[in-house]
Amino acid sequence: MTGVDIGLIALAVLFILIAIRMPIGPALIGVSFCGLWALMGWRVAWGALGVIPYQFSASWILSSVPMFLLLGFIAYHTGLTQGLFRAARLWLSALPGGLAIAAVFGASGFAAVSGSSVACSATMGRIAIPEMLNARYHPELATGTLAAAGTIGALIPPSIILILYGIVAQVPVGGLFLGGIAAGLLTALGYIIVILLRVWHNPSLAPSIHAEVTRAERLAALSDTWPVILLAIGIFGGLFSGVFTPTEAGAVGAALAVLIAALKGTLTRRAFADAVIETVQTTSALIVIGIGASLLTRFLALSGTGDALTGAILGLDAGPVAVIVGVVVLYLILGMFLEPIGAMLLTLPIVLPLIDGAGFSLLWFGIILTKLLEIGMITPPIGMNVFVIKGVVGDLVSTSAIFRGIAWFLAMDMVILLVLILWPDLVLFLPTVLG
Amino acid sequence: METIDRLVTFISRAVALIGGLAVALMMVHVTLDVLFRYVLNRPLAGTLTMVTYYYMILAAFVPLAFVERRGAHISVEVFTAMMPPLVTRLLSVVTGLLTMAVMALLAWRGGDAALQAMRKGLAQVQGDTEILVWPAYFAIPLGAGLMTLVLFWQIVTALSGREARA
Repeated sequence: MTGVDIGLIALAVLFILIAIRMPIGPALIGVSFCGLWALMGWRVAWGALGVIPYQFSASWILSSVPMFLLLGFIAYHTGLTQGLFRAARLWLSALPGGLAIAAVFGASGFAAVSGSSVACSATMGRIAIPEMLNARYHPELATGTLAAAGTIGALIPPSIILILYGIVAQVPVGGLFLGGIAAGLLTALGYIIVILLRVWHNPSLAPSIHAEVTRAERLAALSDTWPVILLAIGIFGGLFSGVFTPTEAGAVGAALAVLIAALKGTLTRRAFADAVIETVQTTSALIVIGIGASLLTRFLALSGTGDALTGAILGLDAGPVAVIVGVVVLYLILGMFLEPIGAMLLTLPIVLPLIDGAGFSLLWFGIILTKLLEIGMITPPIGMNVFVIKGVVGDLVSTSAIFRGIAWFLAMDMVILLVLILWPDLVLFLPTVLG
Repeated sequence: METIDRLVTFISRAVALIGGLAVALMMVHVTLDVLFRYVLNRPLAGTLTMVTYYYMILAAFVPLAFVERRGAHISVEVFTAMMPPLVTRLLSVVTGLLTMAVMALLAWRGGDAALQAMRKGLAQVQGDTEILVWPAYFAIPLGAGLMTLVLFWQIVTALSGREARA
């Protein structure tokens, strides 16, 4: 049996184990260990299992993952971002679908202090959906907007997905963050266009609000947004002026969030403890998968399976266009079923060499991949953001209604994806100029 | 049965607390380091070593049992959701045993590495300070070992629950 044979058998076993619901991390670790053992003997497998868990976890760059998670969870549990939606609402209420547009603005603002789209959907959903339903917005529009707008959270920096991608693909996280800005803003703009078009076409979706808003009220609402603005200025100001590095920004941001919440009077012991415990839970679960994925990468490289697969696909004379189309289709399908970060860590050992071999920029691909994984967050049957929104609305709106509400945003996502693929400079402009 | 169940709950809370402390300390330590460097032009000694070797390792591995207890290890439910309940239960015992085997192996390997590190008195030199790092190596056998125990207990309860119902 050749190395490639062993590699292919191992991948098949891995697929079966994951399909019967073995946790992804332990499945990756077990299969890679047995694969290395079959391929190179016990000593090599034993050695790899001793070194890689430390090598992967005792990482300075990786330490920003728990810190950015903590920042987001603290902002969520202490209600730091509530003023954001209220202010956007008062300023945008005159537009058709003003509340929905305000929600997209709110989500984009929250995205600047949160690294995950689930946190973004949950936070803004809790605030915005009740108000939209009160204003007799169509439930599908209200819930669909928030589930989709949450995905901006992973595109606009900070972003957990981009940090982990940067570590695996060895692309500087700072550059990825800069690249994410354009994709995030483009997505926000696209969603706002969708809302405007839909409400313009069918005004009953979002009855206009006839509340007279005075200038003074608007300015007062604006002053309620100070926690987020202060936090964002602190994080991005410090980052781009070089006071601290992208890795340190998470810790400083989290500490700043604690401080601001204390000033605002919403920092309870319970809120802080919940934020910390959720951070621990997510961090530990992600790192197990990361370790497994590192072991798999080592095993695939040593067995030659990675090269064989890459060679087979590139050897089809497929050309870069076919490669990128294939990868896009792969992640759209995976995104329907898998948890996005797990799916990314699971597949990168095979996909990265392919993308690199086809001559694409790995920075650009990080942004495309994030966009693809975020589309997976809102596609049926498994859409994490949709489930989060379902948790917010309870029995008021059915899950299938939320998925229906997302359809238009999903169509826009496809357009945005195409734009980002056709014009890579949109993504690469900021990293090139500032990086 | 109940005493063991309470013990498992206690373990899961204790390891979550340790992980939580590591995360909170990481935030404070890195922030102070940035402050000291910027204001006093004097960074804290050993930040890099403390963050990578202690806080990260403790936060990643010690809480594994807690994550398991909460059912928060990431898995794919799509395929098993389509199967009859009896099959799903059977499969969950099989995957539970496999996961247990992997975590036990990791605990064993980690324990071996930790003992070696201790014997060598492993330390990291950063600037003019030397920080002992071998104690952190015990986080892997501890975390993976406790997760093995929790898994074992969950399989036992799952099996006894089925017998009770039959």
